[in-house]
Order: sequence, then structure tokens, then C-alpha cells
Amino acid sequence: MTFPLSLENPILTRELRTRMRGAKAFWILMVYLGLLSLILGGVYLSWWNSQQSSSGVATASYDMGRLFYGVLFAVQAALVGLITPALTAGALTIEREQRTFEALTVSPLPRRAIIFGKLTSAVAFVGLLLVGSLPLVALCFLLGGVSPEEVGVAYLLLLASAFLYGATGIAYSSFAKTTAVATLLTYGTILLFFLGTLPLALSGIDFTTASASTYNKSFLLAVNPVGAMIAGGLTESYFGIILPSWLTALSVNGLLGAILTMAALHRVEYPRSDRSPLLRGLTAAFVTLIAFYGFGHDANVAYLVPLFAMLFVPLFVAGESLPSGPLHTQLWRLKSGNPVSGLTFTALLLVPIAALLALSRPQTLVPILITLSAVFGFGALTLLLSQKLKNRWLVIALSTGVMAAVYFLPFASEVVYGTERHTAFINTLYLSPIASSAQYKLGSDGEALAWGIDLLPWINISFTSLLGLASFGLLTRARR
Amino acid sequence: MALVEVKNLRKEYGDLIAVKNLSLELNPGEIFGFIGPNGAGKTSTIKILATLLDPTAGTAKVDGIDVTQDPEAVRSRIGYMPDAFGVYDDFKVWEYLDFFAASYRVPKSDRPGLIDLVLDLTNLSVKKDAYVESLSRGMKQRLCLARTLVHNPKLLLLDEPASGLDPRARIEIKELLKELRNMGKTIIVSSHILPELADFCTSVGIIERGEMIVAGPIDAIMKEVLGGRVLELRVPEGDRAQAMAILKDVEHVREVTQVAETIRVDYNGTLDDQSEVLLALIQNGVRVQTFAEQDTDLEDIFLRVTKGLVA
Repeated sequence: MTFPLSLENPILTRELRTRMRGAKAFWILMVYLGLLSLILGGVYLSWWNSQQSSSGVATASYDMGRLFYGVLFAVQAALVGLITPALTAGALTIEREQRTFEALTVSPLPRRAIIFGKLTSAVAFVGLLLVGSLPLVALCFLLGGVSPEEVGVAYLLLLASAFLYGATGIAYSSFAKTTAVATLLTYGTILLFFLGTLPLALSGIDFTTASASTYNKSFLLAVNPVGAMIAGGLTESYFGIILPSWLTALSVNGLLGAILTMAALHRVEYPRSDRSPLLRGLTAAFVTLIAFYGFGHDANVAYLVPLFAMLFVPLFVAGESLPSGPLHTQLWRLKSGNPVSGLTFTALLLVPIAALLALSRPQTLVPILITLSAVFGFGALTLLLSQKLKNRWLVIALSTGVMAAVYFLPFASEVVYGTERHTAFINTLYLSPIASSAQYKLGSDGEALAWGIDLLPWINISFTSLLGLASFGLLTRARR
Repeated sequence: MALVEVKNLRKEYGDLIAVKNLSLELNPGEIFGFIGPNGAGKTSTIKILATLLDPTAGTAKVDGIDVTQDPEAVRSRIGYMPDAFGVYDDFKVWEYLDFFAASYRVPKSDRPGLIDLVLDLTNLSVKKDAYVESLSRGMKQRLCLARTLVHNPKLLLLDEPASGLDPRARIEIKELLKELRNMGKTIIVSSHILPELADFCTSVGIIERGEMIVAGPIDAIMKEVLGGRVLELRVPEGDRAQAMAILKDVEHVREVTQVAETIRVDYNGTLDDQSEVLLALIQNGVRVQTFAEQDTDLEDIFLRVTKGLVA
């Protein structure tokens, strides 16, 4: 195959060439298809047995077709999640460990070619596995109950999750020092993502007919890789716009994958062409998308807004050391990737959230104010830590730790003391932005509070503002 | 115009100063030997030239292009061989070279011929279809050198190209470098072992603790440091005392010493005057058995100029 010179990617050529070399690739393919066949065989046998016994209820063949479809794609979704990270988590760390990365980086080959080549080859290999499963999928058509469009969408979603997992692996591979660490972090993150959306997703799946029974959970269902296989064909109304679930899944996973790819690129780029504006732009788009799906679907999740702040403060505000120059001018340098303007950026993320929230719910001011104050408070604290510690990872860990403690400790007291509500711990609810935002959900806990539940948001706002002011004060003193 | 121009280069890693105030100028066709003990700053300097490190201060230019201003342009002009490098084991030798040729944007139609050429140059033609994995260490080293040549770079940066090799492989690398010199390549080659570089460098620089102690053509350095040449001669034992007495009176002879069987003469006259030394001996009836200029003894220079400060 000949490429025009400008399109040729030597990394992709190399990866594809060596990936298919030897018996390894064919063993993977065989094990993959063997596992699918075994599981499908088991399902078929159990169906056969139930049909043979006199007491069994005869199942229509199209129901069987749907069951086959559900099992086949749910298992494939899990297998893709297991295989793809292994293909990319070591992509860059192995080059570093084998000392081949230097030779690569002194060539005029752009770094994006390295990232895209490795990612494309991994997704392409997963694509090959998926194509291999086509004959098994054909069994579903034999039994009926499944439309070709449904199957097409399922494959598309599997490729999208392969891209997301691959991008996760590449991103960790670009940051981690060793392949072992990168692999561990990749699988850990994917597991978290999977488990984070799984309980909700599972509660919406009816496995006997492989269809979703609870429609209003289809957003989370669609984002979960396994859930997406079932929810793909459903539709949902967001702010009156009716969207199929597969589009939801594709947009969320695709954008998340793009952000991770960009993060990896940002990391390996040398000379550091600053990709912060792009990275920040993509993040803002992602946050808006999630807010669109989240609030368009169920405005009662407004109390989760402060959680967003918690996720983005360590990512954008933590840094190695702060740039020199007065703080107030640094705050507005949004185009450069410095941690000080990261604080402004995180606060600005609340604008689309507030706008979308206002569309679906009249009273949006309180959670937004609580969040804004939390961003200011914990952001300033993170800046102070960045100034003092000069170690990005330590700052991220500390900042996340402090926030997790403040956000979730009040809820932990509930676990410890059970129904015994009248404890001193109850008043720690005042510190937690989530609890303050969800005041109407607190029930009997709220009644036990020392100063009344109505004051909850305002005391919390005072707490985070004071934290911010104190941190800023210490920060300006430290910079003098 | 100088191909390599380094001015007041400085590189710090935290508190450690790896390179301080290093300047260097190389003309096309020069082979520059970069000598210094381990940790003296050779690798840092080479990496800055290879666009892998940013200098803390000072400038480095290759072919008139600043390495920090336009690294992309510099990269296509240099071939860099790191001191510790890896190869893709699951590649065949020709695939490995094809991969790098593609990375350097060598047109696809030119690649087969070019690969044959560099394989021939590095004596690896027979291994063209072998897996990189199956090559010996010396062969891998030569393959790595072949890789740096596929895009016909103007400047070769070779960091310890012969380290960790057995004597035979070392000699092969040296022969290869001589070949490259004859092809007119400009090369910067570093080593912590001196004799390795002595016979094919046109100029050398000795670096210690980040500072260039001496630099220039080997002859000039010899003159600067030793103040002249060392002549070695052998005479029968009976004539030795007489010979040494005669030599002491010859013009431009600064010192005469006896080392085992040979007489060493520290001479700072010109090459034309040097024949006077032999003439004086023969005219006085001394039977001279051998008369030779001692090989450019970098080792000697090195020991004189460095203080052994880098552990």
C-alpha cells in the first residue's frame, strides 16, 4: 500500500506490521472468539434444556435472539475493556524503558504522529477482533428479534469504547515512568469508570429480554460500556430534544477520549507548544455536554454541581510552581496553562452549568453560589500548596484528599453511627458543599443540625470563602 | 560558515551545573573528539545540540539554526546516536532502517537504495533480512549508526559510540568512523577513553566539570600543552650516554630523558628542524637504531590538563 508522503505514518506502519507478526495476534483472536463461542454455547444449551423439560415455558425464538445479542455484546464490551488497555498502556513507557524513545524524538516525526499511530493501531486491532465476531452475531439474525441497525450501532459503540480505553492507556503511558504503573492506573481508571456507572446501569437492564426497563436512567446506562449495548436503541428527551442513547454514549466517550489523547500529546510535545487552550476548550465542551445530559434529563441532580468543582480543581489548579508576576494579572491569562488562570477557568466552567441548570430549574442560585465559593476556597488552597510544595503530583493528591475529606466525611459519620443521629459529627455537614447543596435531601439529619437547616448553604459559603481568603493571604505573603 | 556554533553554553539540573560556559566552533568536515571523564558534561552538551535538552543559558546553532528556535529544522540536519540506546527487537534490519527513513521523510522510492547503501557502509548487508534481535551488540551498534545516516545528515552526534564493545567491535566502529570522515561528514564524537579517538579526530576538546579546558587541532593542543613533540629513539647501550650528551646540545631540545631502553627527547622546534636531531647523532658516529616521533599522546595531554576532579 502506498501513501502520499504527507499521510504516511511510520509509527502506524510499524505497529501494524509487528502486531500481526508471529502467532501472538492469532492466539488473541482465537481466545477471543473461543470465549465468545463458549459463552454463547452455554446460553444456547441452557435454553435448549429449558425447552426440553415439560415444565419449562416455551420461549419465542426472537426472545432468544435478543438474549444472544445481549450476552454477545455485553461480553464483547467487557473483553474490549480488558484487551485495549493492554495494547496502549505501555505504548510510550516501553519506548522509554527500551531506550528507543530518544531516537524517535530526534527525528522530525511530529509527536502527534507517535500518539495517533499507536492509538490507531490499537483501535484497528480491536476492530479486527470485532469483525471476527461477525459470524457469531449472525446467529442473532437467524433467531430474529434484532435489527441490523441495532447491531451496527453496537459495533460503533464498541469501537468508541476501544478509542476511550486506548486514549486512557496512552494518556497514562505519557505521564507514568514505567509500564507497570501505567497499566495499573489505566485498568484502575477503567474499572472505576465501569463500576461508577454500573450499578445504575444494571438497575435499568432487564437481562431476560436484553432491553432496558427503566427509561429515565438511560443516560448513565448508555455511558456504561456494557449498558450501552442494551440502551443503544432507546431514545431520551433532553430539554425537549429527543436523542438516541447511542448518540449520547458516542458523544460522551468520544469527547472524553479526545481530551485524554490531547493530554497525552500535550505531555510528550517538545518543544512544549502549549496546548492548554485546546485542552481547556475540550474540557469546557465536555462539562457542557455532561451538564446538558445531566440537567436536561433530571434537574434533581443539581446538588451534584459542587462535585464538578471537586473534579476540576486539582486537575487545573495544581502546578509545579507558580509563574512570577502579580496574581491578579495571572488570573486572566486563560490561554496559558498556568495554575493561577486555571482557577479562573474552573470558575468559568460553572457558567454553562449555571445556564443549563437555569433552563431546567428555576432556583439555581444556591448550588451555583456554593460551588463558586468552593472553587475559590479549595482553588486558593491548591494554589498555596503549589507554591509551597513544587511537586504537581503531591499537590494533586493533597488537594484531592482535603476536598474528599471535607466533602464526604460528614456522610461517613452516618455510616459509623448508623441511625444514632444526635452526634457532634452531624454539624460537619456545614462544611460539605454537597451536603449544603442537597439540604432538602437531608431529612432527619437536617433537624439535628445546631443552627438549623436553612443556614446550611450560607454557613458553608462563609467557610469556603474564608478558606479562600486565608489561602490567598498566605499565598501573597509567601510570594513576597 | 561554521557548521556548529556553541556560545557560552550553560546547563543546570537544579543545583548541579553540568555545563558551564562552554564554547565551540566546528567547520564542515571536521571530526571533533569530545573527551572527558564520565559526568563531565559531554552528554549534556551533545543532547542540547540534538535538541533533546534546553540550555539554561547560552546558544547552540547547527548550520546557522538555533536549536531552541527551530528544533525541527535542526533535527533533519543531524544524526544522533545516544550513549545508551535500544532497538526494536521485533523488526528486521531493513524494516528498522525503513522506519527511520520514513520518519525522516525520505521519499519511499529512494529508501531501498539508501538502505542498501548504509547497510553496505556498516557491513551489515548480509543481515538485511535478519531480525534485529539476532544481532550481536557490535552489530546493533553499527545498525544504530546506520540509522543515523539514512537521511544523509550534515552533522553526526555520536555519544560514546564504542562503549561496551569488545576490542574487535571497537575496531570495526573506528574503521567505520574513518570511512565517514573520508566521506566528508562533520562528526562530534565523545568518549572517556582517549586512544579511541586519537587517530581519526581532526580536533579535540577536553572537558572537565562542565568546562572546556583545551580545544583545537590535535597538533596545536600538543604544542600548547606539551610545548612540542616527543621524539623517541633507540641506540645501542654502549652509545647511550654519548647520544644523550649530544642531544642536550642540539637546538630546540628542551629535555632528554631515558625511559627503559629508549631515549625520550622533548623537542619544540619545527618539523623541518627536526632532522637536525638525527643528523647530529649520525655525524657523531652514534648508531641510531630507531628514530620516531611519539604518537600524538592524548593520554598524556589529558592527564596534564585534567585534575581528576570528576569521580
